Amino acid sequence: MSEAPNNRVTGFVMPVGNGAVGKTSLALTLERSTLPEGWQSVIAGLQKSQNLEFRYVTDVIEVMGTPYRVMHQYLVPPGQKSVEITNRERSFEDVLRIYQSIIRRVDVVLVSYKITDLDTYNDIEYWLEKINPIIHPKTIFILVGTHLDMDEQREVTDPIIKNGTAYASGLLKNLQPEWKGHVTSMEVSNTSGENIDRLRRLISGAILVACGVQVHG
Amino acid sequence: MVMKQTGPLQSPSPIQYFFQGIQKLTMDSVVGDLPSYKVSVSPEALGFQIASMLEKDVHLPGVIVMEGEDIKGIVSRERFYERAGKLFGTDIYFGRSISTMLASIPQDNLILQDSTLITLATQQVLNRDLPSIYDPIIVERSGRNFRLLSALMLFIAQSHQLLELHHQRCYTVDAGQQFSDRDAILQFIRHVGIRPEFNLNVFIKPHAIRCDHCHKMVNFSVVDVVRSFPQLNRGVIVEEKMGTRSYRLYIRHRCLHGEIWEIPLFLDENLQYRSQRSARAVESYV
Repeated sequence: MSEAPNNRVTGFVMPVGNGAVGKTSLALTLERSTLPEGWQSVIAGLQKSQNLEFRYVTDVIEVMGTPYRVMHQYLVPPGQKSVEITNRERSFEDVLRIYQSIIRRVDVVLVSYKITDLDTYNDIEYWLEKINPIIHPKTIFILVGTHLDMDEQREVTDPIIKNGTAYASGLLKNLQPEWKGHVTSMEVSNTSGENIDRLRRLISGAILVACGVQVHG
Repeated sequence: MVMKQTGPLQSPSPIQYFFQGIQKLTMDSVVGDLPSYKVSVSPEALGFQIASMLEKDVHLPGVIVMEGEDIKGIVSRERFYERAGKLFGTDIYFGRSISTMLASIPQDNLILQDSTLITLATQQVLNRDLPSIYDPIIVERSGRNFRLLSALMLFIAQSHQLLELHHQRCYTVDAGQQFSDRDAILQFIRHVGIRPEFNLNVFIKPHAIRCDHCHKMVNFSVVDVVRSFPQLNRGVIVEEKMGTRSYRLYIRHRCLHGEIWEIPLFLDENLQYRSQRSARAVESYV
């Protein structure tokens, strides 16, 4: 058995986005992806609540010859906007208000949308504005398109994503001039697992960058 | 005696102005959009002076009697001639101050803010006692600036809105308003403000989409959509989100049992088909 790396970094990751785009599934799939074959079923099934959900992923990546054990701590808020709430459910804003004082920092924001639903992509602007109060100057944003297995029903195309990535970066700089982070994008499928490993590594790298570890390339 | 009268804010000829501009009224129009008179007199104004004012402008709905900044009441055209037309009416009222006549008129004045929707204003007017329904309405603009609006103007405006609402619900992409492709394209361009070098062929390019309610194919072009909406802002929505412009069009067609249903359609910035949503019934003004 290989020795565990001494360099340990913990990053806080918050998936945001409209309801039913796959935020909780994404955290769950990422968690399962780190387990050995046959052990995936150990992780409890999909749990949805109107609260902040917590999930943990441990990843090991090597940066310039140095191995890092990166702990992803996922904080999954509800995807309901305050304007959409008509009963006693909690909205994203409600949950943020409750937990804002104890969320130490958010290093990576997974802005999630369905590639088969342009509305969920167009609403990213809303989520960027709402998440803005809890980000720090090095927070990395990843636009995560889910439902890649339904590519034939795609509404969000590559040019739209390219425009959107640049636009999101400009918007964040406007909202918080001291923000010096990055915005990147990736598409995954929670069902087939396509690109999940790549996304996990991307998140690990992003956590290292957000935490000030020198990462090149 | 103090008498102040200026014509309606927008034009010296209210009726002419009103009927010229009536097409611009929408369901969101407010009473401030209707022509009203700034016409106030002091309680000491004599009856014959009011008669002269009413005679000079046949559309003047009446006068507001004001003492300083306080409204004492309204003498409408109908009430004035009703009182003056009685036996000895001119002898009694023409030589005396208007406050004499005002004392004999029951006051049920309706004061509305100029931002009140025409639809809501009409409801309030019709909620008055039957004999007062046709009395003019006082419209308050900012800074205690009171104007007089004829109830008839309000009813005409609402009638126009109802007609538009009716039209809104009966046009479809294959049976729209009667105007040329060129006019439809111009309307579309004015509405969405697209750049001049845009390829105009996209406006007449035929599209076909399937309605998920009646399962029939619906054929249309962008100009057909323009013709199916008397108020284009209800049928063509421009979205500028995440650095990309897109258009949402509502494709209205005759669906099952002759009902009109609309299919929300998304087009990209080059007016090319992107996606569609489930059809929905056109049941109310949307």
